[in-house]
Amino acid sequence: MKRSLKIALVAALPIVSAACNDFLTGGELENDPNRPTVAEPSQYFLAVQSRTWTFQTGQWARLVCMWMQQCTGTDRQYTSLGVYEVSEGIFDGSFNEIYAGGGLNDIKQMKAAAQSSGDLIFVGVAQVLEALMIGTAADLFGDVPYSEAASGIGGAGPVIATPKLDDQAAVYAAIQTLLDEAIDNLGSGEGSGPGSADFVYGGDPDAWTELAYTLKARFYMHTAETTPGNYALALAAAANGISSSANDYVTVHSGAAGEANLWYQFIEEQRQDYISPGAFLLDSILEARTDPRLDEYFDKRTPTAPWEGATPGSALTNTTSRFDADRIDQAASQPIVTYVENLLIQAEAAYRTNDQVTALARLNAARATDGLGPVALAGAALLNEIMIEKYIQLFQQLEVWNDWKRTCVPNLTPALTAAEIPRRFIYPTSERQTNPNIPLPSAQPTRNDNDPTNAGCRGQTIG
Amino acid sequence: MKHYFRGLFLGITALLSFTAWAGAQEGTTVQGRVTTEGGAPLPAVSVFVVDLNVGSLTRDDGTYSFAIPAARVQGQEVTLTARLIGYTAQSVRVTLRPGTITQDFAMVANPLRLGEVVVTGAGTLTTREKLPNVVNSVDSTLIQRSNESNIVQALAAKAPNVIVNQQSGEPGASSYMRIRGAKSISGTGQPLFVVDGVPIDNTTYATGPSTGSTVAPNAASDINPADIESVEILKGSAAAAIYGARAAEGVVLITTKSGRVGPTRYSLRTTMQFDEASQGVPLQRRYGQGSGGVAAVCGAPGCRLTSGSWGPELAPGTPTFDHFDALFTSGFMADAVLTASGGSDRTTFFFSAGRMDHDGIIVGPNNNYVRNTVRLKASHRLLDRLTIGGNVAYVDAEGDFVQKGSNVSGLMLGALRSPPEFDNSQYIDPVTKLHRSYRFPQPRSSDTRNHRGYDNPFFVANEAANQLEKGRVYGSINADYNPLNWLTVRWALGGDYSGDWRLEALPLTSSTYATGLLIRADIINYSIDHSLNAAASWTFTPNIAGTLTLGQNLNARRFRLNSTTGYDLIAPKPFALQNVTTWEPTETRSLIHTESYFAQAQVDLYDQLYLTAAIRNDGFSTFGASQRRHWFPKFGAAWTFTSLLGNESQQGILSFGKLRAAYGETGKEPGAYQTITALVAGGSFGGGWGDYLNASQGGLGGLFADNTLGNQSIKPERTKETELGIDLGLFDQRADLGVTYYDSKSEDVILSAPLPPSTGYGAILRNAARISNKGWEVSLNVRPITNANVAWEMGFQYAKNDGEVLDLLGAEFVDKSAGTFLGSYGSVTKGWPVGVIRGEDFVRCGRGLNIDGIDIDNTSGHCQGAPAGALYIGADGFPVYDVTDRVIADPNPDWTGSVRTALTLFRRWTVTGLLDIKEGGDIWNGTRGALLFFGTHKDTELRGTTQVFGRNGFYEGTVAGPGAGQSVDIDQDWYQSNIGSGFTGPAAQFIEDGSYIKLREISVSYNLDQPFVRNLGFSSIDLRLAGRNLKTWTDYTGIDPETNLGGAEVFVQGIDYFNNPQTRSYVFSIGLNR
Repeated sequence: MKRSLKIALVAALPIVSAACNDFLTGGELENDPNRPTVAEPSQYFLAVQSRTWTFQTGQWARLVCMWMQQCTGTDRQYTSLGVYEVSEGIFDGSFNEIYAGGGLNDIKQMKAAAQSSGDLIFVGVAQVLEALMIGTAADLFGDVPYSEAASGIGGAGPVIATPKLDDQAAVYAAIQTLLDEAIDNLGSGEGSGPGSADFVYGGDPDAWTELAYTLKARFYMHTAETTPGNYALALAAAANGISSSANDYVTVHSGAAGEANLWYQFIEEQRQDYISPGAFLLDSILEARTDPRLDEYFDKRTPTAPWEGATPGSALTNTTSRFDADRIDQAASQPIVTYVENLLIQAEAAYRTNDQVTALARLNAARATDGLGPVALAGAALLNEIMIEKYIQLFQQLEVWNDWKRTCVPNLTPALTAAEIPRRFIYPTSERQTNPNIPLPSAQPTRNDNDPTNAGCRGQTIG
Repeated sequence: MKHYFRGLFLGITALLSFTAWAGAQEGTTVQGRVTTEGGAPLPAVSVFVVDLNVGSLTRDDGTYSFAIPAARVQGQEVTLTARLIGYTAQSVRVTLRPGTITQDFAMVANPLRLGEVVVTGAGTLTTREKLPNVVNSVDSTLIQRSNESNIVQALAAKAPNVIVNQQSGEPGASSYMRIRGAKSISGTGQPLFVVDGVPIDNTTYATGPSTGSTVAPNAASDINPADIESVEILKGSAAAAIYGARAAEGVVLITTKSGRVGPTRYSLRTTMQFDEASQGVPLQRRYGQGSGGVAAVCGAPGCRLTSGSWGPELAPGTPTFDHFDALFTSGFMADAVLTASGGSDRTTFFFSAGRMDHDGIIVGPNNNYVRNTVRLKASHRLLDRLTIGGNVAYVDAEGDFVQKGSNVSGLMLGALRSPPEFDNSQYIDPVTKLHRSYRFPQPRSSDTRNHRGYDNPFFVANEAANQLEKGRVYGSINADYNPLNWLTVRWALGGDYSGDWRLEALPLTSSTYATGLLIRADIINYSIDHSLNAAASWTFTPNIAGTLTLGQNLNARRFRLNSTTGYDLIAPKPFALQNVTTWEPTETRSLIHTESYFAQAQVDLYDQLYLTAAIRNDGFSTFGASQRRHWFPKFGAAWTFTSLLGNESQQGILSFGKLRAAYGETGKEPGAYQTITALVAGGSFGGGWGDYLNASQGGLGGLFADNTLGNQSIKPERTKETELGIDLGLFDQRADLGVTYYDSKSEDVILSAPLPPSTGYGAILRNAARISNKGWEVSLNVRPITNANVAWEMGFQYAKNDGEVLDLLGAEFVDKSAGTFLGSYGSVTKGWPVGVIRGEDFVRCGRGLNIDGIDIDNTSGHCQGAPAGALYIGADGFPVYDVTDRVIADPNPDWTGSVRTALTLFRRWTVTGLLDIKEGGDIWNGTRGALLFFGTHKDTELRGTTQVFGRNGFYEGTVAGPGAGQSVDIDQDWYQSNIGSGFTGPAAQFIEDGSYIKLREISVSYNLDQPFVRNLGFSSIDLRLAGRNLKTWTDYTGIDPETNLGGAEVFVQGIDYFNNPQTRSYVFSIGLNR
């Protein structure tokens, strides 16, 4: 009897002991065979690049285009969005673009991966993209999560579950520091950068450096209303900024699915006639001034139709003009940060620092990029013309709204009976419901800190 | 059919070739007759000599005989035992000597099955009176009587709080099972299936979305029900804790048939079944295609016509068509099972081979399911104390399915929307030979790659291809070793492997994808299960005995899915991946290991108090690294208090009484790889308006963080349950009553907790939700007549489960639908049972609503004085749309029950019946909602009339508000542009009560064992005429209320949207036994 018991135990032993060794860990048990967990910096870069483009040229650009009356919503939800009928739910997805997939989270991962391989140029590129992403977030929302946002790198670090809001001013300050570091890294000569994954600059560190300087100038301008000393800083930064149209930071598209211009996709493929040219830009500015860009930006609906933009809240007519087919071609590039913007920043900053000669020269240089002859203006009319030129040249860009909030140029009449054009986005429901640091919509300010009421609009009118 | 007859022929040939069996050896012949107390012969009683492990089964006349070899006859005294389920086992001592021993037995009925062994899982056994919790047993007779080919469906109405819901009546459709309410908010809530100790797969895998695509079988339907000896259902955690972290939704233990010592027995059972659609959808036949009373006319080939039937009243004599009935014909199923079983004193075997060939009721060749099964189970006593065994089953299944549901290429969608005068059966244009539909009646020859609005249902039934081909082998080998009289060691190694080939193909001109689409998927599932148990039993004193079981289990499960969607067919056929221009492949794999140990102790005191305690320790590879192992305890007590009262003989009014109390904990494992924070390959970024950019651009691959953050400390969900009950035997065991109350709390339930996007992630899976389920279960069985010639019994069951979601990490609800579905979507909502449907309703009183600034509840002339829930009628006489998202339906029944009866007459006739009762449980009749929009529903005959809301059956019920009682015109606008249909109005108006009473089973059988039968070479022949689902009593106005669009693929039930219908069946079966 005893012997048989022993035999049973001996027989069982190898099975039991085999079981204890790593039966639950390792290999396909612990490592997901379906999804990757590590990426090269250039693979993150591609995702961040696409995300940056959708954030800068997608639905928010269309919304701002309507609020700035360059466009008008003429069907379904866009009719109401265009006349400011927005709630926090509309902005669901916005924070996802800024922080989640392709946003700050992946920028940080890209930065960390580049850092660990000693590719300082790549680190610099990542820092520029981070500044563009977070700076734009601060433009739109004011105070935003930054110092505690996207804190867990790839799930390896602890994630701060409820990131606090950083003051808008602190975010802008951090971005200036970040861009300075980026410029240092880009100039280090160490590493190779994103290379061919970078569809805009091909990884050229000099081009990224110029972009960094223009962004510095842009964000100095955004804070100059409250800190007038920043005009000089902006002027100095812009001096090293984007030096030619060839170095514009623009989207790059193709006709392939998922690679086409977002305006093309929205207007031609997905939501025909949801958005139309705005009467203010088309009729009151371009047509009224017989600006040759009218024909470049827009098409008549039929060859015999008149030029006709849609006024906010109005419906489409049989003769409402369309966006120019070339401008919304599937392969057309969409500008994000440009040489022209850099020139016009210099023009405005020079004017604000009492250098009207430089201001006029830069305005005329900007006009020349579109083949327009020089103008001779001075005083308030010069500043107004600089801002109107920027309003025209930066058509479809988020920056138009930032400029208008600072300057109230052009002098827009709110849609229908609305008292005011919105001056900031509302934090999205998805963030507010999960992050106690986000106030209720009713407790949120209507203006951001860089847009004080008392400075207000200075009453410039269209020249 | 052809295959079926070939199978039958082969079977009979096989049967007849086994005409002789070995004659008796020299030695002792033991023989006799076994009867009931009343003298009726009892067949299939196992009579055996325990000491020698030799014996036989009684024949149909109750006689038995078996031989003991001379070598083993030594004049010793041995125990001869007669045993039959449902009767008290009897033993006598006999002295063995050469020659013949005659021993008769008169068996005493044991309706409560006291003393019978019950399988309680993971190798543990006990006897029924010692159970501290409910274990519902369903034996082979009840399974056979159900005439179901899917074992899950066969369990419908067999046990309280075991709710079974069939997806549709199509061959191969899945059946959904839920035991004692939902405990989780992920997965589909199906219990763990264990066959002969080895867990098997019961996934329902469909290649397309559950709202469309086709039905798919649940994998447990691979089991041939004829192989099953019994099913034990471990319902609550108190019973199922021995299975630890896989058992929270209950465990279904299936024991397959074994061979018994004695002459080889054969049986050939052939069953023929005829099906028809059980309940249709009412359609109007008065108004034709068109709009605003104007007929839609096809001006020229290539015309596209309006989808609605809002045209003029059809001229008298215009032929119209019944678009429901036209699609269905009589279904036919042929099932043949051959079994052979028997054994010598050392070796037993059970063999079965079956073929089930089921042609469904849908017209065309694409509605059938064929299942071929073979099983061999054998055991051999190698040494006196060592028995080895094996049990292997092979399944070969083939299915063809028809597209269903919310799907413009679905069968019912195009059919029921068709105007009455359009003849769908002419689905091929006579000129162009192309697919024509009511919206596109005259295709031009160039229309080979454009859609048809909605597919013609005959095109769907005839031309689309949706196929399944599956091979599966599962089984185990085992060894039982008794090193000591008090010690048993059992080792088993089980496996389950299946390869499942799928094709889903929409031909050219399909409205879903007019240039042709096909999905090719290969699903491979394989698992290995190892278990080693040791059980020690010891009697300390006559009044104190105990059993200790120790066990170990290792389990490995692999899942492999390769699925490729091909777009744009090059040539119209074949439906093969090389014949398309674009492919989108996906691959999913997973590997899960589990390692578990358990111990169970049972102590029996004074033959009346039985204490059980067990603990299981589970280690799963899916648990977070810091949560690698978890404990699952259980304990319980059963006390036969009638023994204390002195009633050992089980006589009198209170012939037996037992109190029981038990507590147990079970778990539900997290899915594989939920600990991991991964990257997305091949993703894209969009803003919700359809425009998007891929992360990969220009042929370069981009990667980015997944929206869900991995949770390193994910652990199993845990359900804790207390169960109390009483079992009574009454009136000399003529009746028995069982009452059970349970209270379970599920904690650490995994939900996707939203994270602030600023963290860089959208969600994390957390152990955070809590769910409660409480309920009552009552079963009463009565045996008023138990004569030798007449036996009549009745059974009643009642069950009620109250579920409530207690906490969802602060959220009010979690969306459980894959996208909203016509304003009606499944959810898990706090304060409600799991799986309620949300959506919008009309404005109703008592909800605190403000209409145009008026607080209607407290304003005279509005809702003031009206009961809560009254329909608010606006000043224009119409109801008002309320855009508040709210719970609009609870598909969980208020209670369920069944009534069962069996009457046996003169031993030969048996009449049985089973009523299945479901009270409450809402269904969203989305089909009606849609058909009102299209003007084909019978209700739209109201068009052009004047109605008053709340009166004469029109939105019958209390109304209030300024326009209450006002007459309004009901016309096309009400249904198509206003809020009177499912497309334009709130979903709540299409919620209907899904209560039903269903005549689930009824049968008459007749057993022949007269001498002429034996002269034919058979021991008996039984004939059975039966009906399944012959009648359903319900107020539901759609198809059969037993339906769900997603079947067992989904968690939310109660969705009816152009589902394919259920069936009623007529069954004839003949069994030849030898």
